[in-house]
Amino acid sequence: MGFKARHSSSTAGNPVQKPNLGGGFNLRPGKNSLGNKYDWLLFMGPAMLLVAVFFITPVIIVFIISFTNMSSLTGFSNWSWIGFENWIKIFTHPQSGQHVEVTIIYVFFTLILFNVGLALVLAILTTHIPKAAGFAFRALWLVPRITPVVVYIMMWRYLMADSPYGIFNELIFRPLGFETSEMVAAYPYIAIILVNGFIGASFGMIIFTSAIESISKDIMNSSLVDGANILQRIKYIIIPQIKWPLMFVTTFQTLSLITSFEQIMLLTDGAYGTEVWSLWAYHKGLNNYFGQFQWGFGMALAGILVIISIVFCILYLKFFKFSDMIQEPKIETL
Amino acid sequence: MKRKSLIFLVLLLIVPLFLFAGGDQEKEAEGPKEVTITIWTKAGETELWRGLAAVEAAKELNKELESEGIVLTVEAVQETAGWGDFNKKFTMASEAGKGPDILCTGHENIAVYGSTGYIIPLADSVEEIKAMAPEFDDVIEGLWDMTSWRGQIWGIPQDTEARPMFFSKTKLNELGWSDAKIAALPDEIAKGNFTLDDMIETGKEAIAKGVVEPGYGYWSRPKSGGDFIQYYMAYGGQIYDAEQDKLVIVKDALLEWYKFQRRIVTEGVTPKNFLGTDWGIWHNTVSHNNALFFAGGVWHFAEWATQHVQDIGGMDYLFENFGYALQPTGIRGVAAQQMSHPLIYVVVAEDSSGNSNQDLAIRLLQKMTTKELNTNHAVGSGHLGILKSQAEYTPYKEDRLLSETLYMLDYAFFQPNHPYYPSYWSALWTNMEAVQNAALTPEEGVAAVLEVLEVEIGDALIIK
Amino acid sequence: MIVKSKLKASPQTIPRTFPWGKVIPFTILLAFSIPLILGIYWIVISTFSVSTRGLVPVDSAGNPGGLTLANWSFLKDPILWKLTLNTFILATTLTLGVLLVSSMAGYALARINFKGRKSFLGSTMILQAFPATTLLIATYFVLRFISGVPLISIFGYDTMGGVILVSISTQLPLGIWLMKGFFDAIPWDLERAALIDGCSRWRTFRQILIPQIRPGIAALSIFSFITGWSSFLIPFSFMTNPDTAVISTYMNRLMQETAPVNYSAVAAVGLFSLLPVIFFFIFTQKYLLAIFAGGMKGGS
Repeated sequence: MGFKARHSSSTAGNPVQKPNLGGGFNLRPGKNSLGNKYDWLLFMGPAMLLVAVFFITPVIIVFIISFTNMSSLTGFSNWSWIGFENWIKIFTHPQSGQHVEVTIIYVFFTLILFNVGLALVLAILTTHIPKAAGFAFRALWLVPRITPVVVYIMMWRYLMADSPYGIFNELIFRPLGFETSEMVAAYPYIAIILVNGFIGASFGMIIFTSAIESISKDIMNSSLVDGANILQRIKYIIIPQIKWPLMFVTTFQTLSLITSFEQIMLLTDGAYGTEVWSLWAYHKGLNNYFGQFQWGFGMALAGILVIISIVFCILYLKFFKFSDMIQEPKIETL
Repeated sequence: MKRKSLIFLVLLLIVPLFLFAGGDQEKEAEGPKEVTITIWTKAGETELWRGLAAVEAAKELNKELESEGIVLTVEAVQETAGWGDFNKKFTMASEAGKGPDILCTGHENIAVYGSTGYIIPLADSVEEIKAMAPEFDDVIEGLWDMTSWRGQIWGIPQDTEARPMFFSKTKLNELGWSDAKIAALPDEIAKGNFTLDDMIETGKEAIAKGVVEPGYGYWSRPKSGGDFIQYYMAYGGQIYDAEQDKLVIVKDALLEWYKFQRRIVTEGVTPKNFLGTDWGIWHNTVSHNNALFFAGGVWHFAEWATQHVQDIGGMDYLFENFGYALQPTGIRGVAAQQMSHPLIYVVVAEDSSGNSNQDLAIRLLQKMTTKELNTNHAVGSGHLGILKSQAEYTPYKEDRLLSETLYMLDYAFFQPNHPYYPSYWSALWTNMEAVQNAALTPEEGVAAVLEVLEVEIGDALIIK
Repeated sequence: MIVKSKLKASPQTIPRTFPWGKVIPFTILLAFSIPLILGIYWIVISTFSVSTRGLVPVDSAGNPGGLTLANWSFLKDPILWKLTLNTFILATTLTLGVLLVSSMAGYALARINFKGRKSFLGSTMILQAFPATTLLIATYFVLRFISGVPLISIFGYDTMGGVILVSISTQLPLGIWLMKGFFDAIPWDLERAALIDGCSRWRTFRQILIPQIRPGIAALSIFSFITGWSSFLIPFSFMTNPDTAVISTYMNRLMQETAPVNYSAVAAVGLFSLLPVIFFFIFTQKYLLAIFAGGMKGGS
């Protein structure tokens, strides 16, 4: 472990560095001596096959369905082509704007404040207190992720419920003499951001923590010796060292947030203007109270999400200079 | 080289195939006379009789089948998912020919499954189905309406419920109402002499006199659900035009309903930000006699008795404190209504089930539609019966709530069998919630509903 | 590097103990964690009480008291243990499958130069944007098609094989990225030696590299295990056989719209289903935090 940590940290600050500098010699033996030229197919085969069959094909089918009138009423066999009708419906729908607005607010604030922001804060703080305490806090923050979502949402309902049941109201607002009310309904946007953020923070926290832990103890200690305070240490040592995980978490979590709706569905079910785009698609095309669906329209709504996600992904990868960060395979550059 | 990589790929595919092949479930050829009928139901802990009835009925049917040389086994699958996932699963299985032989589903799905050919019609008229078996003749007349579609009968009723307006008898007493006046309330409501306006007034009075806390005069259902459509109907609404097969919006009724939803908050009988209250909190509050009026379902009594007031008297406590009536009308003098959502058994077509046991399935359904088996379910789950003979059947009669609310079926309306109804309802609900929380005025709410429905439903909507 | 030299350049001072250095982080952490602590405390309390007011357990009439074990009576239900076993099998199979496929792909992406490497990495990230629920209907069509192909029909609709493959696929974006990072961080001298000695790629991978990335395997397995443990929609939708019900089914059974619901019992089942994952986490914590130490290191 120690060895590996040193190995990675010694080069991590310099992402564009050519990897073959690490090796002392630049011998390039014939490819066949390092195994078969098509070895990669053996290793990539299963993943590529699964991705092609269970991701790419279904995504194409989603787009195909979006041009049909397929619904519960037509079943999977009696549908017919209706051209762009579903797509036009989206752009003429009076509620589209509202759904876009709440989706942007929800994704932006959850991402910045919690999934990246709080995650980073937690990671830094838990690595600066005694080990056992840091472990306890990390375990605590992992609980939302592993709790069945039904129970997790129930917990927030009771935290934010009106008196005499609600925990915040009973412990804070009522003793202070404020008027109490059902807080999810009173502050719906804050509620959905909090509820998702408390789950989302743990993903980044774990990845950032391990990144920070892997920073060479030499560097960390020398900063202390030099009298750097914690803020300077964060700015000059920690942040530059965890660029890659920051990029990974930001991208991964943006995409996850755009398509996530389960917690919102259970918390408000889209009431109080919290129907984010993915929940809207879900309600129209995949699941609703009555169990009857407009698959064609729902798939068009989902298709919009797919397009937006691809755009975001490309932007992020460009912005974070993804190509530079991907390491060249070492073994080929003996 | 390319060929070699291809061989790799093929090997990769085939090797796990043989590994998995051993684990695949075997479908043994059945003996010549053994028939298995599969029934799918959606059931919670207390609703298992939906499927068990078939198991019990099979014992009875097997006595008859012995002479025909058939041994029938019933496999009852009791699912726990929501209706959306349950329906999706059935659709997928039916398309693949792996559906069940009998499905227990909401009546609104007849149109959907009928038009896709997943289920078969059972008879061409009510008379015909009643003539098929004495058991079917026993079914309450009004229930056949909602099993009809395009002039044919497609299902056998399984259970139904009523959604009453509960009221606290003890609180009304404190308010100065005489016992006689309280006892007469359900009747007054049914006739339309006690309206939603009166309910708000009574609630305000109770709050003013300190009988209930502010905001506890009237508690509606806390979450989205067709229940709210009862108040749209109470103001003269209409949901569906069967002749044209279109959904209907009556603008005036919609406006009055929205005004009502806003008024309960401004008049203080319902708390601010009430919609969205957790079910657990809602049940706990109303079952402990904190609210004057509250809208729920008959099955809630069982819930309160076993989960909330079990240590202060259970059912006795509930009967002592609460009464139940139809949902009051909004227009004085017009009879009250309530909404029922019956479940039915349907018989799955050969292409969808992969079996040709349809006739046996119908014979099994006959044996399931008995007062004994249905009462097991009704009493166990707190649902209303579906048979005329149950009214006089002792185990049913002994259930005070069920026998006292059976009359509500005469005042029942059903949600329509229309594929756009979910869109219709979600537009009504979203804007109702906005109006109640003062995000929109009632007038704006109505305008928003019409705007959305025009895009989503278009031609399938009639605006009156 | 630059940072390091800059710090080294400054004059050495005697290390001063920071009196607040431990207290401040601790206090901030505690402040952020208050809602969680209160919430989890409430969940635990509520499973042992009839009802609650704020954080106070109360009896049915609303008076303090009302502690009970009734919500835990489900532990005596034999069905629960069968479902727990089913869930365990599903979660374990899923985890093994994800580990195998992801580690192979991760190895190739980290170690072998082939065309389309970068675009495959980029596009697996996009895959994260397609949750299983969105693709459910489309996946059904794929499975139906597979059912119709003779030899591979055992991976089709209504088969365990199909359910497992679909579940594994949903975990691949995360798995491949994590694994690639771990392989990147392994010094390649060992591997190079083996390859030059004529050892095949596969043998090198299996015998030399896999033991090196044990921390990564532990890390990925906890994420996969959590997903498998809570999965419901895929097994439910693509299997018509009720014997495959999982533990989330049990909780659903307690929460029917038209049947009595004991919310405290739901919370108790939830807590119960949490325990295996907590144990899993505690035992793998050391490895889990090594995601970066060993992996997630794309930057060379």
